[in-house]
Amino acid sequence: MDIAKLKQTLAGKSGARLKLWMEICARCGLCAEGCHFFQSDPRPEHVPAYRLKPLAELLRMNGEVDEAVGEAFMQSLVDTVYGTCTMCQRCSMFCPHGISIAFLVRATRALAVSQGMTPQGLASGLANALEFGNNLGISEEDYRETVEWQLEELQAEMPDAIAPMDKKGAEVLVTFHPRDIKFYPQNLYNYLKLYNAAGLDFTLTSSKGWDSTNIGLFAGDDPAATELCGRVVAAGENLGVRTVLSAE
Amino acid sequence: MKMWADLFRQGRLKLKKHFHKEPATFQDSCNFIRNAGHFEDSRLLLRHVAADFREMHPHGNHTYCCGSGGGHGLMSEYKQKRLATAKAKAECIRATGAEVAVVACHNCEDGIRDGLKAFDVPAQVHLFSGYLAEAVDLD
Repeated sequence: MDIAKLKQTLAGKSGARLKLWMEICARCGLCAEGCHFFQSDPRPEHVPAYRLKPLAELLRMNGEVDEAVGEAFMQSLVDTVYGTCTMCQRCSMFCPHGISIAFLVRATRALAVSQGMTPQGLASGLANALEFGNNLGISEEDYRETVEWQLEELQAEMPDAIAPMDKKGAEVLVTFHPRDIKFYPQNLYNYLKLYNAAGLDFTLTSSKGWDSTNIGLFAGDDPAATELCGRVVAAGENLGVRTVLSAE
Repeated sequence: MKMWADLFRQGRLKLKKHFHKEPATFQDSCNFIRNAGHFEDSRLLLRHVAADFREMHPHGNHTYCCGSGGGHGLMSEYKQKRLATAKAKAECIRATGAEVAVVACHNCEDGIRDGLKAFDVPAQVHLFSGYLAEAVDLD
């Protein structure tokens, strides 16, 4: 374990909002009503407030985890904040204090990230996104070919349909979920159909900014999330668009 | 979704009224509805293209998560847990009697499809974009 990094991350996350919410949670359990984990499978560890336990313990210890139990503690933290929460925020609507458990869960995920303990499924998608520009590792050539292919299909139905690539000064930049390109090209067809039918002044980008998913956000990996989001912003700014449309 | 609703309101995106005849319901997603507040936008479009639109209970800001949010769609290590907790949403959909569950999020698409299968609910899952694209009036 890297205790120094854990303490640093904990300190960085411990703003007023986090500390206040951690202080005022009364463990009343009203949040249980809100959670689909609890509704589907009512167990104590499915009460949203339970997910604050690892963070509360770390705050109490000021991040000084005993090395002997550290790994087991962190694994249980991972299973709790990744395995039993989708950060949907429904529980906050039932909390008398309006505490955002999702916010606190996300902060706790960052602590797992600081120890290189991002769950494998997220970690591999994130590595793809950082390396290839999209989480499925699609090449620029495949991306361009899929767009051209779906445009040709669409032109059979709408002869004047277009799919401008890197059009400077367009009003809207349209971005995608990589699966629209790799597994469900029909989705791409549908988006192009809607925007062509409405006569929208849009463009696509051939840069790495075409993937608007952000696995860094899910993972609780702030630097990665910032990098991925920055690519979409840069694509939009370079083209001078007024609006960026995220994937569905 | 906001873009589609804006284009529809402006009369630029023309959609056939009540094009979809089969009973349909809609998954209010945590991102688009609870956090981004596009409830009215979604209903404007759905009520226009669906002849028999049925609300789930709860819906809107009180919607249950599809089960696949927060990275759960990618974490196969927690898949069994995710499937077990898709029950809340699957039962909401069953109660509507809808034959189609329209979703406007790729995570929801997977979460709902898996949930309906796991709890044996006979409904199809359609992405909102495709649902609207089929109803586009090109005349």
